[in-house]
Order: sequence, then C-alpha cells, then structure tokens
Amino acid sequence: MRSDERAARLEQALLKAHRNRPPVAPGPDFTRDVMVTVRQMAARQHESEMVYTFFERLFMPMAWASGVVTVTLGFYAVEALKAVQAGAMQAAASQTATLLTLQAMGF
Amino acid sequence: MPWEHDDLEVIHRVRAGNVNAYAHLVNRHKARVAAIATRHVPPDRVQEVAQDAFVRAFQSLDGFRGDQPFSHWLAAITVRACHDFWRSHYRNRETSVGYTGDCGPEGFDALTTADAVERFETDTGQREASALLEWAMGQLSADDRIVLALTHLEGYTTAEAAAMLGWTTVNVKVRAFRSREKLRRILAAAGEEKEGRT
Repeated sequence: MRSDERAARLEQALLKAHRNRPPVAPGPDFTRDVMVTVRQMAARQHESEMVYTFFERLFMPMAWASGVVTVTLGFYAVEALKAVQAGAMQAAASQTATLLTLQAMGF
Repeated sequence: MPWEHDDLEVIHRVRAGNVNAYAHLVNRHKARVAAIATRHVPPDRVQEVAQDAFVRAFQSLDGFRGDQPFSHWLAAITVRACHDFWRSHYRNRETSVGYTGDCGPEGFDALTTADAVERFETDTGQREASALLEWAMGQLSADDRIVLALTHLEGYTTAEAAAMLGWTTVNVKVRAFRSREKLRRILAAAGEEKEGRT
C-alpha cells in the first residue's frame, strides 16, 4: 500500500475511533460542585452591588452636596472601591467603616 | 421542544435572583455538556471543563438573548472552554494530560505496524486508534486542534464552527483545511519513519 493511501485509510480509521469514543458521565457531585461556585459568585456580585449602591447613590452624592469630600476621605473611598473590585469584601467593609468614622469626626 | 420553554422560564427565575434555580439547568444539560467535552479534552479533564462551562454560562446569562435554544448557546460556551483548556495546556506545557501519555514515540511504534490500519477498523483497535489520534492532535496548535475537531471529527458546518468559536467563516475554512493537511503530514511522516526503520 502506498504511503499516501495508507495515511488516508489511517485517517479514516482515526475519525471513526474519535466518533466512537465513549462519553464521560458527570460524577454524582457534579451539580453540587457547580452550584457551590455559582452561589459564591452570586453572593459576591450581590455584595458588590450593595457597596456600589451605597457609594454611588448615597455616600458620594451626599458628600459632594455638603462639600465634605477631602483628600483623606477621597483616599479611603478609592481604597474601598478597589477592594470591592478585587472581591475583598471584608477589606471594603473595613475601609468603609474608617471612611464613615472620619466623616463623623468632621474630616 | 418543551425543554427549551422550561429553560427560558428557569433563566428568568435565575435572572430575577433565584440562583438555586440554576441547578435545574445544570441537571438538565450536564450529560450533553460532558459529551461535548469528552470529544475535545482528555477523559480525566472532562468534569473540570464541563464545570467551567456551566460557571461561564452563569456569568454570561444576562447576555443570553433567547434567539436560539439555550442548549446551542451552552454548546458554544463548552467548545470555547475546551479551546481555552488546550491554550492553557500548551502555555503551561503540562506533561500529565490523560491518554496522550502512553502513546509517545515508543507507543507509536506498536500502533504503526503493517496491520495497524486494518486493526483500527475493528472494535478492538479503536482504543489504540483513539490514542494515536490524540498523539497526532497533540502535535497541532490549540487553534488547529479545535477547528479540526469541530469541522472534521464532529461534522459541524463551517458556519456552525465559526459561530461556536466566534471566528469568521473564512478563518475557519482556511484554518480547517490547513489543520487537516498538517494532520495528514504528521501521520504520513510517522508511517514513513516507521517503514524506513523496518
């Protein structure tokens, strides 16, 4: 058999083998494992939306309107937003608490 | 198809904040997603890639417009997850990827004996043939591999493969042609090398 004929027949045999490959069935914990990740993602998204809502709709408009945004407050606000974007919700909450304390102290 | 109506209803519930409803979609489509992944990645990575596909689908669910069945949309996401698996694999140059392991140069010798082609055409030779195909596909790039699998092994049309990969049809057509040529050259060269040694 010539080498090109042999290669063509070989290719056909390989295609058939590929089509006959037995499928791998998902394991018994498949859905549970997916849902663990999905719920975590949904929770992070929800927390992010809450913090964004706080900054965008409540804190920033109030701060700008009353003219109390100083360099110090601005620094903590930016840090808190960066933490939210990185998904570090505890850090964001901490930065927000500092921010509110400073604001209450009249900075 | 009744399922597609059900899928839309579940998607609405998930979008409305009922995250747990997503489990219905996972249960309903997991066998199909795993079947797609089986044809593109090693068996020991199917579960991981299938999970990745469902997580990506959840992340992109707001982008599902409903102008095609959810199963088609999910199939495209699964194919891209498989493609990304190989891109990542080639980047990291992992050495322990499933069934390619026992079909290196030594294993290849046993598979290219004179009666190999005839043997591959029988049921008993199918596993060897599958291993050989994996070895040969492993010589291709991630792009060549995925387009070849979709168009020549899976039988998708150029337009379908283009939609799944997010490529142009011309790109798929050209890439598919070249990939098949490369695969033929790899197989022919391996066969000639073997014959030259015997």
